[in-house]
Amino acid sequence: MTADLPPIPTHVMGSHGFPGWFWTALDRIKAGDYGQTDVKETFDDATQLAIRDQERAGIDIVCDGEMRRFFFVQTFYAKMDGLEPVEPLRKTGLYAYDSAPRYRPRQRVTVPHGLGVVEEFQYLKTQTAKPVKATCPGPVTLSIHVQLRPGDAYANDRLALCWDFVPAINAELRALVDAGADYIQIDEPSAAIVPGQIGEYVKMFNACVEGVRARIAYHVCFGNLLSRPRGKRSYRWMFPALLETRCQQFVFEYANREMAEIEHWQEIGVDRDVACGVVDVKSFYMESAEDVAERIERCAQFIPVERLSAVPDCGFFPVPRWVAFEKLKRLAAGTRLARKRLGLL
Amino acid sequence: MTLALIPTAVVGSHGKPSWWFASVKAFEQGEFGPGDLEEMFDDAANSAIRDMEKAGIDIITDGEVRRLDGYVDSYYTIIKGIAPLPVRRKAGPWGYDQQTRYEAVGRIETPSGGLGIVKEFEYLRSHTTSHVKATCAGPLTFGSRIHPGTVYKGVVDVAERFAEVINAELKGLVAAGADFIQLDEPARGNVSGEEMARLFNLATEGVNVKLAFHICFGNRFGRSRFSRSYAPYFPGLLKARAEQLVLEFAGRELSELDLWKRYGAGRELGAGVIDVKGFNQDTVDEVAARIRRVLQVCPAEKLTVNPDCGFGWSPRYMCNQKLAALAAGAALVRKELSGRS
Repeated sequence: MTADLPPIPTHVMGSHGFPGWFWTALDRIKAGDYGQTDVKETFDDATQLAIRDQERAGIDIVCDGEMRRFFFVQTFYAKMDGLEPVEPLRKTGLYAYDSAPRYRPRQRVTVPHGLGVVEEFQYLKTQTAKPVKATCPGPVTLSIHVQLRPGDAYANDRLALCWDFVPAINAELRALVDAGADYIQIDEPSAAIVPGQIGEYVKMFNACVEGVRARIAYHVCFGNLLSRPRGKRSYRWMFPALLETRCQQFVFEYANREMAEIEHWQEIGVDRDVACGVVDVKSFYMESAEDVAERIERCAQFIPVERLSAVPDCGFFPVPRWVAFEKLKRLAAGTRLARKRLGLL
Repeated sequence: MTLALIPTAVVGSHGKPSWWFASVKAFEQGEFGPGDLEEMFDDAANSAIRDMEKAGIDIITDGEVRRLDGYVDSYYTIIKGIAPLPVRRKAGPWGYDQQTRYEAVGRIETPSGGLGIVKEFEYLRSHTTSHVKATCAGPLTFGSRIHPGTVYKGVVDVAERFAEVINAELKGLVAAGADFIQLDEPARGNVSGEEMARLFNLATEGVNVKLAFHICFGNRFGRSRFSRSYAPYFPGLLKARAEQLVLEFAGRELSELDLWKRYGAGRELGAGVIDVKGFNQDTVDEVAARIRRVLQVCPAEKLTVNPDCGFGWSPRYMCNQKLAALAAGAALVRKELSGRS
């Protein structure tokens, strides 16, 4: 896979911005106005357009834009058995974490027919000749909208719930490899949102990727609900524990944090690849190619360039599509500039 | 009533209750009479004031609960001489391109009763005994969504007209008893710091009370809009006759604090030590640590601490948690300082 890649390859985090017509179509689908064929056409078209945007922007490694997922993980709850929906705590006003649909376990939760990531990937493979990345949420992140209480099937133990997702994720990842995936990213923003158990998260991660023969990336960020973070914005407390994860690449956010803690890599020691967020997905400011190049050069002071990739901080789900497309173009242009200045071309 | 050392202040807007959103919708659908709306706004102001008082904030506002939607939108509906332009994108996630923009079609005029900021202030003044701050959008922000058309020469020309409008409003505020007024200039286009200062001075000419100038990088739905750096605005900005600059730092990992060491001399700093964009709850220790960092570049006597920006785009519970942390963090640092002296 890496054979044709330029130095400091660019990739997306996962989700792309949804076009306006797609939001309208999703409303119609929810209202029951679309037949099965209409639904398939809509999702396939949205996915193809997301891929085209990434290709045209000049991104080196593309995703399917996660166009079949909604609010990052919400779609996955429909694939689980043992959950019942709970009314959101708050339905008016500004959307925040207390506005999101929640679930409670009626019994231990299972994922009987897979998470659907394999089907997404299979479609992606038929639509592009570019190197691709598959993305799958990690166990903590999958658990985030499940509300636990004393006396329920998990006796209020979130870690026990997370461990129940591990076999399902492992099976999904193995099936991805069988479907031809050679690069898979596990997304675990909730590691920063539900903090304090990093040792257990590392164990869980390693169990998820057990026997998965692909290049594994680990994306940890601080949350991105409608472009706003939820966790304390620091990676420092996660180290050195995170070095025990069996991944070949860390994927971290920096642009929205004024590149804070990038120098921490000097202390940690770079023992694997690092993809650095150099495009801010939480701001409407359109960074120039120069801005992006400066950020990459800053990364290169602490991370050997042969280890470095350039990415947006997180997914583009919460932003308008044109913003996502424009920012991707700037990511590509800024990276080209940085490659030149760093003498890599 | 004298202010504590390192007083806490809000920037302006407060997190609104659920019934505020439901009521505004009802009003837009014609289900509210003006009396219902008035009652709702009064109650929202009372709740906001109560929240700030209970949190222990030293300098409060009315929460700007009478200003609808995006800060200046309420005013655009009462300003004459402007006409709305078609919105190019209406579906999908919110973006600045979904805001209604206007074009100047005549001389910009405001109603004879002004913009309503004096009335907001009078209500606030009569419903609290705390120190208060009046806030008003700056000339560039006021003009930010008005295309000059053929009537005005450019954005600065539009802003100069708004400086006159604002000046009249501010004089009304002073007459109503305001002794601390803040101009907010979050939306300033590509105008230089020096030009911003000139427009600030035009808008505040003859307004002889304590003046603050809030400059941030945008905050709509908790997202910034501009390159998050103050450096390009200095030193030109120093020409503004503002006793206090109210700047955002917490959401920027406290970057550029050194600018204040270089340029802050003699001026008050309203330092943003609470991140209004992240949902994470700032702890008391985090707030105190930020204040200690700010004290390395600004003497305590010149320092006010505040959130980075208004809470107009934050849920109310989050706003209240963060205000409580602000008050407690400031109290902690004050205690340390008094122990030392």
